[in-house]
Amino acid sequence: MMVSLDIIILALLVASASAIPGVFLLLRKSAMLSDAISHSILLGIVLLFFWLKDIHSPFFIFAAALTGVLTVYLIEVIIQSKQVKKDAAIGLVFPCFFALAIILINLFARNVHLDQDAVLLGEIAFAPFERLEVFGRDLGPKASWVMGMVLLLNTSFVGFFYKELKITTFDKNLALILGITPGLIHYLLVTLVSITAVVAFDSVGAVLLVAFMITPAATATLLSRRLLNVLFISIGVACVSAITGYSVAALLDTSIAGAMATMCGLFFLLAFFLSPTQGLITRARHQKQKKLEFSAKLLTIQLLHHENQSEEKSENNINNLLDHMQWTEAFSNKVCKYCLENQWITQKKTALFLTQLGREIAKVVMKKT
Amino acid sequence: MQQNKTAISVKDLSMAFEDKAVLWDIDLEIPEGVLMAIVGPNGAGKTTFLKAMLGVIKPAAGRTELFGEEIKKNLKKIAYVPQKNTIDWDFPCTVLDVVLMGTYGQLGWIKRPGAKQKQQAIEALDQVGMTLFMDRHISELSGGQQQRIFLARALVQHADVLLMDEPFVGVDAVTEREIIHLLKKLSSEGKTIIVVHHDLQTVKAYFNWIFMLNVRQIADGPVETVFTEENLRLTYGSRSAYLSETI
Amino acid sequence: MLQLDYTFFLVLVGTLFMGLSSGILSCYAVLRQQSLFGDAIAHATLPGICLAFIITKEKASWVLLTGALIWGALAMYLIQSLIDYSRLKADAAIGVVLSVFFGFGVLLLTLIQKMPLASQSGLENYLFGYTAGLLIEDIYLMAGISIVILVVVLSLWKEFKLLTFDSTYAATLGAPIKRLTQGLLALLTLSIIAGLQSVGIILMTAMLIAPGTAARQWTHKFSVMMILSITFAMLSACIGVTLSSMIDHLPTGPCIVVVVSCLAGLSLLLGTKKGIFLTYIRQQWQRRNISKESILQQLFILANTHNDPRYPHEFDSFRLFGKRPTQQALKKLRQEGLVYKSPPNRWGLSSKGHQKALTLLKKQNTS
Repeated sequence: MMVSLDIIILALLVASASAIPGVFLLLRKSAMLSDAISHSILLGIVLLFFWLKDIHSPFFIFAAALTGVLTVYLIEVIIQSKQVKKDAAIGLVFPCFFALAIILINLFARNVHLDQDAVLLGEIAFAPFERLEVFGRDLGPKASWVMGMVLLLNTSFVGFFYKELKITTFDKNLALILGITPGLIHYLLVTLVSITAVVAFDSVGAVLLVAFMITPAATATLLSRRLLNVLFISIGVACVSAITGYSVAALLDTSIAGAMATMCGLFFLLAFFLSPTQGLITRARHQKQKKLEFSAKLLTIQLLHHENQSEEKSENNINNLLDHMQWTEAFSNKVCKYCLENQWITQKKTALFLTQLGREIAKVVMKKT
Repeated sequence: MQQNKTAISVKDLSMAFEDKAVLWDIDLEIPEGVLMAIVGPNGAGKTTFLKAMLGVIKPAAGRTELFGEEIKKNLKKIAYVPQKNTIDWDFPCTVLDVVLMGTYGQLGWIKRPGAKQKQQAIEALDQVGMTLFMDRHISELSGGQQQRIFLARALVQHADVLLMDEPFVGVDAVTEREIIHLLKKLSSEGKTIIVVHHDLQTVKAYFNWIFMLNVRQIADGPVETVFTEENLRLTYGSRSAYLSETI
Repeated sequence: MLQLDYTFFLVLVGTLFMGLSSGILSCYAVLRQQSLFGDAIAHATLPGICLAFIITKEKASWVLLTGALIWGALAMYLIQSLIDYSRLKADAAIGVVLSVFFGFGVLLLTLIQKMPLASQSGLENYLFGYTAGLLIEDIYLMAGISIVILVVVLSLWKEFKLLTFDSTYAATLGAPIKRLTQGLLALLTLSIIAGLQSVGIILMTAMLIAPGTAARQWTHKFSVMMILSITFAMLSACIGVTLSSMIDHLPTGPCIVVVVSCLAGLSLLLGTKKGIFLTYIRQQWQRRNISKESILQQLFILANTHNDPRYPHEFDSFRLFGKRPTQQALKKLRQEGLVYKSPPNRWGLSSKGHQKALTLLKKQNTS
């Protein structure tokens, strides 16, 4: 039981630490940078491993994170040259770095901790076995402490630079006018993403980091329009995904990271369909209603146009609707029903007449547009 | 001017975007052979109107007819010149390539453009004065030159109706003069030309028919009778200072 | 130790076909700015592969690849739906689908690995490619897919070209835009299926981006770009397969990817139409030309103050116009016979130079 609590705590830390920078990446339309960074840092880790031979040095984190920053810088340079568009630039750099890393591992480090599968998938279950001991007291898994510090780092960054992050995300020009350098914020953010990626590497691996960074943030944007809410919802969703994912993995005896990513996806799907404002179901219903209302108003205008004119008898009847408005029979009936219910029109056999209310509605609509 | 045949007839056309009306109840008959301007403020629905006439978007109500038939059946008779900013100018193709694209409609599926199409394309380029630029890459062109090749692409379709969306924006004076000269020539040959136009000052000089639009239909008909201060006020709202300068 | 045996040629032919199909689709992906779509679709095939195995208990590649195809198509459809029906932008939709589908795939993969009968099912090989395991049936499949793609693209050449360049205009000609777009994405998915066994899921995206990007730097013609893209992809496959069979433990997939990425990098630097290097040289050449012309004009103006068009002025007189010219520029002009030097450091226009200056000034006034 002790072990699984450690895992849960670690998972929660990874989830929250990733969700925070993830929100900003998503809002800045740089979601795929998380993918690029998480793949590229493997090259940094491998190279450093050859040099230092010790994966556990703290120096590791910063130096490997540097690879992430360099990757983004290289991508930027390529985009600036105007020869390549943004999406292609991203996809040019990181697969090459990742492939190089795989080659190096296969050639020179086949038997080491850097197993290429583990790299992708991570295995959070093993993390608790390396514990942090201070003055002979077991303070828990080392990974949790380090991750906890990263969480603190990310939270502090967002806390201190909240205004700057907000402005540079939503209005770059305003930022420039106010003297805030968008570039600096961008690279600081990228540095944090890299650091988070390196530390989370062991636990959840490359691709699953992307799941934690992007998917909860995407879910949150479907539920709220306010930045602060989006941040809190992302962290919340990420944490819930972590816990439920762990449960599922324990139940099925399968990859914990994979299960957590899947849960992120499930919650996203829930929001996609059921979000009260943005959900597919709400949207569809909304659209139908709007279309009906719009068409009903059109009908009143049409009736108004032809009122008291010679063609009134032929124009203002239900059969003509099909022809003139190009509506189907079913839809015409719906529209008429709507107008009748709202007392905009009255109907005598097939002829339609505007009520005074209907006439007012038509006039208001005409004035408004 | 004999205008007995109707080129385009629009009945009860309405368009909505989300819950806002973009076009309301448009009833219009456009005679054959006119050189017509569509004017109205931003957001008046002019581009939407063109797209509805082309059958590219489905209206919320109403319909459009081209020479008495449904548009979809008659697409070969109508050609479109879009706004310049909708293209990716980095695409690898030459001026001739772009104009050749206008022949794709007549070729049908799978068939490639041959010598005959190439000849037609060169003739069209000749009409707009761009033959020398045939093999240039499209990113090397100026605004006016880009507009010309779009026009050439539409010309090569040999359509009876030409729809142009703000063709004179960002175009130099010489190109503008030449284009309108060409349009007038085509109009006199019986083609119906419809132009979304942004410059009220040149309406009287360039066009003989006008449609004034601001989501609702304000007025349509010959320029002499319809392009009045009153109608302008109705179309553009109360920007009187601007209005009195233009008439 | 390069062994030109049956296996080698099998792998070579297979990867060449992969190069063909990815070279073709890379052009479209890059031009339509849908490069990362392929990344998501590739990652999304993992659950498909796993489920195919779970359901059929078959390891045969065509079974697994069918599962991959279904889920790849599903991913493609889902990404488009997310973009169309929610607030999400393209990169976010791609990121969500990519990571979630892959995560789900990892869940299934681990599940399989723990199943008693699985025993190294070989499914992990689809992550990075496993050319050593290619059978003749696999080659037939890859060849089949590539040829289908080639035929479709050649038939619908002008349709896809117009769709990519100006889809609105294409719609006005009556082209079925939605179906053509879906068709192109379907071809993209197929090309990914063809490449899974060679370069694997993770690295497939490179084969869909690098060849097209590299090709674009050398030409302004679409057809040439396509041919170059295919060539680069196939060349990388060749080199990658050869190198990996010569060097022990060098994995084929990553090797191909590194080669094609380097080709792209070199093209970005050296490409004749858009390469940085030549663009830089072109700019320098233009700059030098302009500076020579302005020197002639400056001398003309100076000489005008003396009624003698050939009057030589002190080098320092150029200060009047701001920056003084470089000695190289003056030397060049002298070699061309447009200016002459009068010791110690005085410069004047020759009659030829005078003529040229006049022409330049005339051109300036009328342009």
